[in-house]
Amino acid sequence: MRRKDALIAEVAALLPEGSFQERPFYPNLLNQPSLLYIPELGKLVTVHLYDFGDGITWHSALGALEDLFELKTTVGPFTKAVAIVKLPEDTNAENGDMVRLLANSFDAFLALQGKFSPADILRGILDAGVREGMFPLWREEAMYQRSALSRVIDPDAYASLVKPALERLPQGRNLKARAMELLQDTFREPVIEGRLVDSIKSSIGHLSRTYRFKFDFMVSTHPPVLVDVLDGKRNGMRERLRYMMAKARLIRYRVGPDGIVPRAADYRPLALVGGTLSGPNHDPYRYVRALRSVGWEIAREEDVAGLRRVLEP
Amino acid sequence: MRTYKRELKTILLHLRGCAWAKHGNVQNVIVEYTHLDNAAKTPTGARRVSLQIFHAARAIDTLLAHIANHEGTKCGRQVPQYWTLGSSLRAIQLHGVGGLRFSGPTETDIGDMTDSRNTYLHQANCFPNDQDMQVFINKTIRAILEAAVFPP
Repeated sequence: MRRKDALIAEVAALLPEGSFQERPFYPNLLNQPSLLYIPELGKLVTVHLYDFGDGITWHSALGALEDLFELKTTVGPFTKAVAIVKLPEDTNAENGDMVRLLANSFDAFLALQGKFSPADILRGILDAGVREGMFPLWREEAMYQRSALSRVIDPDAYASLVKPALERLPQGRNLKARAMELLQDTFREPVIEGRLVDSIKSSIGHLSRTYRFKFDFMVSTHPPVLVDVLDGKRNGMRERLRYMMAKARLIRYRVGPDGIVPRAADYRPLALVGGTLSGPNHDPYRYVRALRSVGWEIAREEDVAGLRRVLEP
Repeated sequence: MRTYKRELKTILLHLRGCAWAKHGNVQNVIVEYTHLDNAAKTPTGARRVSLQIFHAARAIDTLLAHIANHEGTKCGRQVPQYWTLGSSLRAIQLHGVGGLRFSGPTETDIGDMTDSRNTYLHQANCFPNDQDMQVFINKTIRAILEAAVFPP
C-alpha cells in the first residue's frame, strides 16, 4: 500500500482548493480520519484509511466500526463515512465476515485491490450515499452517550485511574486471577468465567453466522455484571478502547420486528482496570470519558470500595 | 500549537459541512471563526488573546442563539428578542433540539466559558495566559461541534 499520507495527498490533489483538510482534528474522536471533505455547503465527507494487509482481527475490525459510531454520533449522522481498506490476501469465512461487517456499515467501502487510481477512489467516495436506514441507531446512540455523560464525571471518583505514575503491573502478576478473587470477595455471588453475550453485530453486518461477544467474567448479580479486565498502560491503548467501546454499544440492542431496537438494561458492563487509564496530558480523563459514554462502569482493581460504589444503582 | 491550528481548520470546514451551514447566522459564525484564525497572527500577546476571546465568544454566542431561536420558532414557542449565552443554553437544555441536548460536561463547559469571558472582557488589565486561552477555545470548539449535530 502506498503510504497513507501519499495516497490521501493524491486524492486531495483532485479536490477544489479550500474544500478539504488532510489529517483533520476532532477533539472527541479516538481515531482521526485521514481526510475531511466538503463537496458542497451542508455536506460533509470523512475518509478513514485502514491497512489490514497483514491480517484483520475482530479487534481491528470492531475498532474501525467504533470509528464509524463516533463519527455518526459526534460529527453527525449526515456525515458520509468512507472507509478505504487494504485487505488481507488470504480470506476465510471469519475474516470475510470482519470485512463484510465494515462493508455493510460504512457509507462507502473501497477495497484497494489490483490497480487503482486516485480518480477511481474519488469516484467511489462521491458515488456513495449515506445509509439512512442506520439513522435510528445513530440517533439512539447519540442520545445514550449524552445521557451517560450527564451522569459523569466526578474527577475525584476516577482520580486514581488517571495517575500517570500507575504504569504497567509488575511482571508475573496475574491480573485476571486477582480480578476473579476480587469479584468473588466483593459480590459474594457466583462468578462465571468467559461469558458469551448476544449482540447486533451479525445483524448490522449481514454476516454469515451469529457471533457473540466474550467477556472475561460475569457476576450473577441482578442485573448481571459483565467484566472485562483491562491492563492499562500509558501508550497504545486506543485500539483496545475502541474495541471495548464497540462491544458495549453492540450488546445494548436487539433485532425486533421493526429493526434494531434498544434492549432492556439486562447487563452492566464493568471495566476492571490495572495500571493506568490516563489519557493525553492535556486531557487525562479522555479515556474514562470515552468508556463511560458508551455504558462501561470503571473501577480500579484492588479498590473494593470503589468497585462497590460504581455498581450502586 | 499545531494541533490547535488543525482543530481550528477542522471546525471551520465542519461548520461549512454541517446541516446548519446554509442558515445565514451560521455563515456569520463561520466568518467569525476565520477572524479567530487570523487573530493568532497578532504580534502583541495581550491584544492577541483579547481578540481570540472576543471572536471565540461571539462565535459560540451567535451559534447557540441561532439554534435556540430557530428551534423555539419552529415549535411555536415565544422567543426573546435578544439571546445571551446563558438564555440560549437554558432554552436548549430545557426544550432540547430535535430531542437532543448538550451533554453534562459540555453544559458545564459553556457555563465556565461564560464566566471566563465576562472576567476577561469586563475586568481591566486582565488577560488569560496561552494555556487558559487554549482551554477556552477548546471548550468553545467542543460545544460548537456538539451543537452542530442538533438537527435543524
